[in-house]
Amino acid sequence: MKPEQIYEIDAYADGELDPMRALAVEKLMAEKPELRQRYESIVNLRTSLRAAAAQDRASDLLRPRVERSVGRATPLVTRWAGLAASFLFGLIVSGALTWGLFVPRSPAFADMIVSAHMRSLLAEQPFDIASSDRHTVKPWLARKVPQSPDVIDLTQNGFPLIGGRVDVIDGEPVATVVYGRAKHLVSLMTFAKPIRLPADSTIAGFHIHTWPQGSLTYVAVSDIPESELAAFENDVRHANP
Amino acid sequence: MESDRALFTRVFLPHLQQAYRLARWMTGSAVDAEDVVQEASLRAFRSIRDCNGANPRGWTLAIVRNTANTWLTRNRRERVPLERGSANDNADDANEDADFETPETALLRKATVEEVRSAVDALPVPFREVIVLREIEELDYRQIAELAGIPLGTVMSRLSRARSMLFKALGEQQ
Repeated sequence: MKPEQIYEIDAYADGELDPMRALAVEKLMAEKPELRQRYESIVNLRTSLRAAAAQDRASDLLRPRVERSVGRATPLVTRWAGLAASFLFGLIVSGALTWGLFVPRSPAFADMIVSAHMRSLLAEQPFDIASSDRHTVKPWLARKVPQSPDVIDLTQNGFPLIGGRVDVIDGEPVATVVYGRAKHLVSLMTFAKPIRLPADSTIAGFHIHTWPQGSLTYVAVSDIPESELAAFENDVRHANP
Repeated sequence: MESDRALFTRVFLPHLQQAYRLARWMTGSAVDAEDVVQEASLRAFRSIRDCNGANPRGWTLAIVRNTANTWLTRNRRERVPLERGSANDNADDANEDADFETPETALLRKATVEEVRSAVDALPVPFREVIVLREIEELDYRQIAELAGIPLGTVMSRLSRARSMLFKALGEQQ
């Protein structure tokens, strides 16, 4: 067999030939049994390889493992470090120039909220208590922080309850309820005092929605699309706890 | 704008099983394959903005292939002398006529899973990767050439040689 003939048989078996060339190869194979045999060997090898490969299945742990390691990966850390650095810089500059006068509190506050959410993503677990049962999360939060929010069930709306945690924002413990959305997380924080934040903003790819509700201020932060976070806000506003 | 994580979830994660399968055949080990995929996922995440979105599967497999190759040179140094790396493409071409002059072994039966795995594992990496990309990942010649960064002619010659080597290895076990 000449190499050119072998390539042609292989290319025929791989479906790489145009119809006219394929026809010519078929004629050639009818004349030369060794070429026909190579073609049949290729098909047998292919069947054997694919049968073996059909058994390959990554363990169920691979996906969470990949997600965990990516959750801790550098871009996020770098961005977080950059964010922290810019926050610190802003604090120094504003502190030096306008201490006590008009501290640009809102952006810094938004930074802290995003940082808390990011830190939770970097941690082994994005929550301190894992539970999809609001009757577990609510009392847990109530034990940790003075004002704990109503923990609502949004599973029907596509935001299953995942757990709760306590963040420290501006030196105060804050109750945070964690919801899931596909593979993403939404942190819902509740503040007893009114806070000044730009209504809806985006920092480092994380969207923030904030709204007053009763005597509390709610802040939702997540990397889900803006429109989905708006839907989340709407669901929380209209849910009956 | 879509976040890096969202982009990663959309581009890389849907191809996790294929990524695993490629790594599984490249490394010859189920355990090593998961390490390679994890490493590849970090590489993918760090350069997720480079994916132009046209071919997320090809982009993902290229990263897994590169990671597997790095992993193999790092962890299996004993194999390297056996390989004819891409630097030796001319040697490949010079030798192939001689190879094809020896009588061709045929594979006239289905080989068992173990036979097939160990035969593929024994192939030098440049040949192993083309046969795996072609027969298991079912890429065409052009896609393999792009992914492995080799000319179309080299894809064809390596693929044919890989097959001849596999026929020989599996034929002898009859």
